[in-house]
Amino acid sequence: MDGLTMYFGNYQHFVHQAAWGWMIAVYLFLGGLGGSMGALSSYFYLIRKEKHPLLFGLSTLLGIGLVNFGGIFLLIHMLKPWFAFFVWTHPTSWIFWGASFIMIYTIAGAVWGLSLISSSINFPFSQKLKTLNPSLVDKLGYISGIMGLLTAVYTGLLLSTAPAITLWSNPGLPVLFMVSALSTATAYFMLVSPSHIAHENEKLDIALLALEIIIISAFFNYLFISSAAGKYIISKMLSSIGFMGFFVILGLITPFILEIYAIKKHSKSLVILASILVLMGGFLLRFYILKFGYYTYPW
Amino acid sequence: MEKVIPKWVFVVDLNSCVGCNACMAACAQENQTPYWSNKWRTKVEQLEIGEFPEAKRVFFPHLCMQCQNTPCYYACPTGATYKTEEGIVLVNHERCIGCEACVIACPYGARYPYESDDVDECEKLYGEEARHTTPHIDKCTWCYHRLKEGLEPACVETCPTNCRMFGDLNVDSYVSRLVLEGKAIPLSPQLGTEPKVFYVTSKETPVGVVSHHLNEPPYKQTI
Ligand code: SF4
Ligand code: SF4
Repeated sequence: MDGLTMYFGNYQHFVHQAAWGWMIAVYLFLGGLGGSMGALSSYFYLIRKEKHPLLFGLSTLLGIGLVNFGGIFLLIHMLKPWFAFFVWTHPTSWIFWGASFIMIYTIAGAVWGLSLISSSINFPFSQKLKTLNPSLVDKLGYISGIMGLLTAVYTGLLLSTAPAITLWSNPGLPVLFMVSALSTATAYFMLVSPSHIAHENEKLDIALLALEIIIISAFFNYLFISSAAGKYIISKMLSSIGFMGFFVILGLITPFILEIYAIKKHSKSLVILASILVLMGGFLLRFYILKFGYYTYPW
Repeated sequence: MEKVIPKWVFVVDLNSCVGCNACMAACAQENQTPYWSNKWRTKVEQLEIGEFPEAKRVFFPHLCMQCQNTPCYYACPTGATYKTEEGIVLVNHERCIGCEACVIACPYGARYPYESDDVDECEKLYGEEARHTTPHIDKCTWCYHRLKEGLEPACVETCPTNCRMFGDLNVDSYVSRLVLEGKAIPLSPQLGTEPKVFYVTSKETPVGVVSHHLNEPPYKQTI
């Protein structure tokens, strides 16, 4: 028992969920980051018309790699991972949809990413890929982007189906995870892009971090006014050095300020530091959301 | 004649639980649950409430609520968690991959992992009679195998104080009247899970549901 709250002689226990720990946090983080890398690659290349096929092709392939690598953590965590293909049985489960999004993202993104890089790099099949109909390749790019984004959203939806866990079962969590995932992927692009693209991305990341700060504040507000469970969780959050110090201050507010400075000063080193902090913050957010997953038991 | 599907309900009278834990023992024996790892399908919580000199120890039995609107069933991607025509929620051991989505989704702490060490121990203890032969997520079935034979769940049969009662809403009985007349109430109804375990509350033993339902009671203390 982690906490006991009493009012009017009635009791509730707040018990920490012990089922999902750091391994699932890694899965959620890499799912969000890798999915958003594909989503942003498609957005930059197909909609913003940034003609850097090698950068966006490789980023999509890396994104797919990260999502699937993250999936290994979910598999290791299962009791019988060798039967994992059974997840495509019951469509009311978010895992069914998450696995489907990841599979379609992997296939569409791999073909799209490989065809983008086939003009610069030679590998088996590269000649074949060059002959693909360009409009088909573009369509695969859109599918890959949408599925990448859905993968990032799914990581939040997965948690939101636990009715007794106050911090998770609310419609804000998928939005928070999506914004945070897009922010981590933007940080990745700030690290690897040529300077003019990186500069554009700084503005995008500042907007995403601002949005994330607003959503986190709204969460605090929601928890504070919602219920005794919410108050219990927020008291835990505010007293956690890891959450407040490493996530909120170092992983969220500091990069937000650094990026504003970096834009003014045109400083590459500040951008690199901010990007690394955003990536660290992305993982810590998921880690702490799992850590502060308290059931409210009515006994 | 049209087949009548029973509407089974479970009633726990908090006035009469004395905390003897006979129900836990009966369940562990009947269902080969891993008591050796301190995992149970049904539990009797011992709560200490109040402060000296008015401190009291009260008991709160709980088990799977066999929710009508079933979060664990919706969360299960493999179809391992399924419902019988009577609405009993069961787990197909072979089909379960142990992803624990159902454990997370269950609002009543009714599920636990039957891990490979537990399976080994079960096979060692029960030999050919072992009924847990592969790792899976386990939960209370209300002793469905016994219900099908017209018997009550093992915990109900064992309970010496009649704290645990079982009935069918289609049949007029003390149990069905407690439920239909609202004298026994479900836990956390605001979650919309429509549990089929109902509690007769006592002055001594609190049911958090009352305050939780009101949602905004004055916040007094956290200990
Ligand atoms: S109590 Fe939990 S395990 Fe039982 S039916 Fe409800 S959600 Fe499922
Ligand atoms: S652990 Fe088993 S029963 Fe639970 S959701 Fe996963 S597959 Fe279904």
